Amino acid sequence: MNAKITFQELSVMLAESSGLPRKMSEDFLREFTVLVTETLSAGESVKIKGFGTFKLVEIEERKSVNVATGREMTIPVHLRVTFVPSKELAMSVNSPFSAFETVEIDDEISDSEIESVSSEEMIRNNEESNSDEKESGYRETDGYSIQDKTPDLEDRSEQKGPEPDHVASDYDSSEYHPTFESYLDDEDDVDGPDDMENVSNKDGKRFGQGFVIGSLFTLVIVGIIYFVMFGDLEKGSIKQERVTKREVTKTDTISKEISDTVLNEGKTAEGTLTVDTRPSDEVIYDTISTTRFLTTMAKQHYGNYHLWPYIYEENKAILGHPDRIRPGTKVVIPSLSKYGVDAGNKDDIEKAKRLGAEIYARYN
Amino acid sequence: MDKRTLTDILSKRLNIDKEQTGILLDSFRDVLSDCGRKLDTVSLPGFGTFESKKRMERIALHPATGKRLLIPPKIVLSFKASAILKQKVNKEL
Repeated sequence: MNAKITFQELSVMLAESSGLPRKMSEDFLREFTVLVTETLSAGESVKIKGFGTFKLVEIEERKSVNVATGREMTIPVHLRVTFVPSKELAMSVNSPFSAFETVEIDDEISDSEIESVSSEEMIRNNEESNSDEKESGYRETDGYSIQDKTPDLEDRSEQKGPEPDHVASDYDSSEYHPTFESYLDDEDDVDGPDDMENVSNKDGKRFGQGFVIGSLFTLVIVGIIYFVMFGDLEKGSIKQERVTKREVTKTDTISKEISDTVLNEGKTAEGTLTVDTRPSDEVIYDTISTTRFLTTMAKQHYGNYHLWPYIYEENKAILGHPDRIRPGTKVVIPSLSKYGVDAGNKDDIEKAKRLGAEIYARYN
Repeated sequence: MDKRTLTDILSKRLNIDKEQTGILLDSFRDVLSDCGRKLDTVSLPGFGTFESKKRMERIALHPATGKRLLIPPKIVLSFKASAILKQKVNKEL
């Protein structure tokens, strides 16, 4: 992580990935940059499908102060080169975090409560992200094993209907779930508080590895105790406030775990995709609403919205036109293995797209 | 300029067929996204650097409903033009 990749390293990686000779990849990179530079200098933008767009943006004249001399000066009108990654590239880069969705926060929680939870988690996050990748604890964060640590988050995000897990079913599911239904477009989030992260990252490095291991285990143990106690004591009478508060905490915890894995091992990105696969014998239900469609469910349960046709196929007896499903309709979410589909396989995604087109064709 | 024109010109200059140029371009994107995922910085001399940044989760207001939303953390790829590219682009100004 945070490594600087030079031109040589990049050309080696490119040669490996493309299977073409090193010389060719080197020439390619050189010519690519030259050509893009030429095109941009000519005032034209470069739009590469599936990759992104290099374009020029005019920056208006503005006043600024020279930090060294304190003298005021004007920065003249100029052009800035911007690169907007395509949706595919942006999604692929973000794949370690693709399991998360935007969560609605209940009005009853005050800002200070949220602050205290998230700042606490952020500090722990930074301590742990600096630890060594050899640490065995991080193995747990791949795929299924997330279930061991935080079973109730798994349940919450995957199952909308009857919940076999005793802990999750302790809560009233109607007040528990709707917060996951909201969606924000990815593109909205361009400016974020990443300065803060950098600063505390430096601080975090002072902590020894031993301390980090210790704090991780304490965290896990405290988590389990907390979880067991509340599961038993407050059966059925848990207040909404507490539920949502814990929801915030759990999202933090999982995000921390996943980001740690990614940052430390780099290559586990595919692992997060498999988070959503379940043993095939479970039956999961979901309910269509005005904000939840088959695609929303496919994205959540399978990690890819293109896979919606399989949900449709499973329920075709009760569904009509896929765009005109009545809100409130309860559908069964089949296991992907039933159709022999792998969410990480590109061919299967293509197959699902064709199946989707076929379903639409039935109604034309 | 679109992808097809780009690959056409590139393959002419490199003296290789378009198919290979296409493979290289796609592999370049894959390599870039792999590096981006690891928060690595890829620098192309004379052109610029591709940098990815982790954005922390944050709380935002839904503009229409006024509800508060917890927006999850994410990794965003960004590009910084090098001084040379900036100069070339602003030559005429």
